[in-house]
Amino acid sequence: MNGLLRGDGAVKILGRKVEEDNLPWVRSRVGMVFQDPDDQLFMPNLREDVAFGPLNLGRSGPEMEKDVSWALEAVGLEDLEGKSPHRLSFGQKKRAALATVLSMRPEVLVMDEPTSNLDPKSKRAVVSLIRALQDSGTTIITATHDVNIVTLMADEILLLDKRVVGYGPAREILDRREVLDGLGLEVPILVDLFHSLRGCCGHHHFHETPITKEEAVEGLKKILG
Amino acid sequence: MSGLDIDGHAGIDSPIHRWDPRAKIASILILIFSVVMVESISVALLGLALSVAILLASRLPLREVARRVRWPVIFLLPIFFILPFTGGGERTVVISTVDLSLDGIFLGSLILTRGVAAVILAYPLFATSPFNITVQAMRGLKMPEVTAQIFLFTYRYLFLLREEMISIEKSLASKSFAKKTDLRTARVIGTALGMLFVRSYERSERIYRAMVSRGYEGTLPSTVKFEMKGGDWAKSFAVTGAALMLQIIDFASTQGVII
Repeated sequence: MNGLLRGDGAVKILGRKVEEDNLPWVRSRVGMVFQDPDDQLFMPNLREDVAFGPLNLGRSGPEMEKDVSWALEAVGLEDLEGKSPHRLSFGQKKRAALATVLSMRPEVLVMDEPTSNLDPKSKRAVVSLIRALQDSGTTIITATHDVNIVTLMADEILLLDKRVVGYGPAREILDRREVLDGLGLEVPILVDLFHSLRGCCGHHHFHETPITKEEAVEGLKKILG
Repeated sequence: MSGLDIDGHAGIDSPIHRWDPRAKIASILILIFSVVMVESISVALLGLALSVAILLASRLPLREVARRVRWPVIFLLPIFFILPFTGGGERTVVISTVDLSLDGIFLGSLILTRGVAAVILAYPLFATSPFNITVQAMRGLKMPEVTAQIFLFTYRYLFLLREEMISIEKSLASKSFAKKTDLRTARVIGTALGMLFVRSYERSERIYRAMVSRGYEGTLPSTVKFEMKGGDWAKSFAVTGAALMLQIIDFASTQGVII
């Protein structure tokens, strides 16, 4: 998606086809967060790592400093900026890796398993950060196996199993239980619950399966009268 | 603290820590070269005293430095013990039935003293600044970019490599593997090292991709700015002056002017 891997076909970013000539432009717009934070954090200390991208984009001085501080604050690591990566915990490294890309202020943020191997608290922090970024207009593309975070942040879902198996609005895809099962994925816990409720009690109070907590509460209220 | 953590005490406040890293590296390196080039044992001892003085000025924990200096010294000791037997020359000392070469004893002590002094100086040189600052300073001293990057990445990923090796060892131990001196052990260790190599190689590719996707084009940007102050110059003159003095005294003593 930012020209690292080549294949057949074409990728368009913000309306422009990714080609050899516009790679620097593409890379300044598309931020990639890799799954293993140790691959992402290669500078000797956190602040230098977060400044790496902005400096490569030609930013400097107060503008660069502002981006770096903002990214560190966004992930809540401003107190650890002088630490070297090997002194951070895994959860901190994972958030740090996100900060190194955020500081470039990308319009499209691509993340590979942003919540894998995280403790529940760090996971919540990452999810709410992703949602805040979405609200500020950043396009987010996430590869994940964690279906329960999908309901918290996805608008659209693309199911992949070597090829595209399904593509559509989150609600529609998550309702396709047999496809999710077939791919070895979990069904989100709320979807699972309401599927069972439908099956056992024959409730038809809701046309759509709830995927968020608020919708589920509403649904349950209806069931309970 | 692990043995790899060379800059663990970079946060201490001392005259050496406050010294501009570029001036520090250049001056101490000159002193190291000067010490290892002296020919006279008494001047070498003076050099050793100077290194100890600089080490004391750096306020690094002596116990830890001693623990680390141990290894290079162990490598120097055989020379010290072997040379008296192989040194030759006419002057000998007879201890019971063994003839010891006096030249050998002198040369062995000289090599040992110079070596210990140089190794001691490596600590005020490398342990008094965060490692990245040291490398940036070396860059400031016109070290090639590629070398600087190799230093930085080695330092960054050495820890990870060790963690991976430890986890491989743990996994071997939990499968009841015990090291013995047999072919099977050699084979298992060989496989484990091969595994480590393959993992590191794959990781290096992923790191490179992560770098490229953040705009890397061959140089690492740096925001570190150095500034030489009056005190920096004074320390640099003192240390390079001492290095020069050692050479002058050494020249004089080997010419028979002193001693």
